[in-house]
Amino acid sequence: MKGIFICFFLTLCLFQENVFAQNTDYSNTDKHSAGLTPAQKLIAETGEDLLTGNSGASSQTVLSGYGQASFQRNNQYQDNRVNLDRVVLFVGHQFNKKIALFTELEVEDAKVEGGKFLGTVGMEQAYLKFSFNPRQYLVAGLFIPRIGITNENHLPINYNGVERPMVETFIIPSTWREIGVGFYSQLSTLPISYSIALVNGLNAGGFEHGTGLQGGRGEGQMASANNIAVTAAVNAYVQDFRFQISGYAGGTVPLTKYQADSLRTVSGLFAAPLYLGEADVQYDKGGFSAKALGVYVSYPDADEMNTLYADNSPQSMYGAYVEAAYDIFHSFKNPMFENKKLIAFARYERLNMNASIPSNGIIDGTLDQSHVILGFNFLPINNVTIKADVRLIHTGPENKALLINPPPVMFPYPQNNSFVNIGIGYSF
Amino acid sequence: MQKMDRRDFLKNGCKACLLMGAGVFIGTSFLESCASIGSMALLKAKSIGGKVSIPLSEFAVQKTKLVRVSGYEYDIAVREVSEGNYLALLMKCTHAGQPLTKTGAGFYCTLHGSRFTPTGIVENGPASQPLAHMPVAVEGQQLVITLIDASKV
Repeated sequence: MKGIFICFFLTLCLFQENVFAQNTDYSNTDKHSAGLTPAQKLIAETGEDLLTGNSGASSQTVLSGYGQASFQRNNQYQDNRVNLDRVVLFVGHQFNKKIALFTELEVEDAKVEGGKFLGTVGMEQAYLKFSFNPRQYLVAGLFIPRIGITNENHLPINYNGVERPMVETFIIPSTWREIGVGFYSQLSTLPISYSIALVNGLNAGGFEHGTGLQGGRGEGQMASANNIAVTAAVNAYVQDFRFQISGYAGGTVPLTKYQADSLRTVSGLFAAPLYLGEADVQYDKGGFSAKALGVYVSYPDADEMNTLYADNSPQSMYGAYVEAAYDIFHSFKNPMFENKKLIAFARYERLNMNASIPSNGIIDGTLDQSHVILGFNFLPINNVTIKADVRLIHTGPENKALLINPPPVMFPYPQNNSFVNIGIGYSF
Repeated sequence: MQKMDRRDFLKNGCKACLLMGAGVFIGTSFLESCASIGSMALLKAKSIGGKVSIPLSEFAVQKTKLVRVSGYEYDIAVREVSEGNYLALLMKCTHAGQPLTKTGAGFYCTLHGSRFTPTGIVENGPASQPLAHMPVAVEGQQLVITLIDASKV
């Protein structure tokens, strides 16, 4: 493991001269000139000097963000909900030509009050970016590794449906951010990019039955660095296709050796490893787009972690989806429809959060799910979306052995259900 | 269930890395042999007085070139649009300044997912401004690109 740290250190040393060198070939003129995004212009017009952060004319601060609100009707339970799902404020700052800061502050579910289970306020990302050249850079801090499609590109204007894909919510827990160091590069002459990152590992003690890997994420909050993970991705852009393979391998035991020994379990950087492999392809041409993704998670030591934490962790999980979409306005020649989109889409998702379980696990049929989502996205401009869809879900049967203290009267578990979703979203 | 100890994990991890490396190598070789992938030749150049010169002969075979200027923060995508007409785009996302990735059909920002056409028009947000065009001029057998201050775009 020391080798990995040494490699990162040497890489940093090798390039530090490039990174910290100041290249100021070009003279600076009016810092509030044309070419600013609407958000930047808005701030510029207020007379504030936020655009430069008061730190010199070669610096630049960018303010942007995204958000989403939704309505959902659960047809079987006849329950209706509205929620301000998230509002995210992005602040980026270019210190010089080689070093930049990226931060995203997120409020989920509108509000946070002490002592009550309501929303969350958290940093979605906060990292420094050190550029070696235009095609290679290193990030350090809290960032989102390149795994799957939605994890990295999760703006509501860039995915179809009010809800993010279920596979990329439960099997790939988007948004999955951890603290670490990542190296990103593009080949010079071919449309291929790759990334590799070293991040803190998952915490098996945080896994919860039925939520996949979500509870095990560190998300930058006092996460254990007693275990770590390596993740990597390779992308190829061929004509109108984008291909990706990505992988994750990391330990899931956050305990110190002393703690682990006292609990008679394993410890170490890669103890009780969890492996994730993913591949996806996206196609986009004219008004038509399509995507397909498959992901498999293997957790060989699930039995030992179940013994330790009693969280009914599965030994393997999988998920896959295919989606096709068409922008109806694309074929309209009328200028009235210019820069507007009306996207009709259909997505089929299949996932199983307990594809296989260890000998001490309990199978839960409700985690074996199929989803069909049909809907529309209307984008009056590129940065605003109004969405509506219907999601049909079919699951396996409920396992009554998992009902520890069942109420005397309860609604029978519906294996078939449907949801109606309406949402609005924006990004700027 | 058979347990995997750390030694086995490292061995398997190394094998996986080797396999992945071999996959990338083979895939890259395959892609290199494929003429229709939208690949771009990289030209390295130096600026003199804020200008970069490229021989026009560079566009005889491939109509699109990626130009990397020493000391300049972003690559420049240069394209011969038609006989004698050239387009130079600054490969900087107009949303948050991320360097763009050349795809087969345009440009893509990995940071927030913005997409641009080969001529720099926004296809997908959150970017709302087109890519910056850099002034170009044909002088004899050279294409001269005037560099702009990338921090202002």
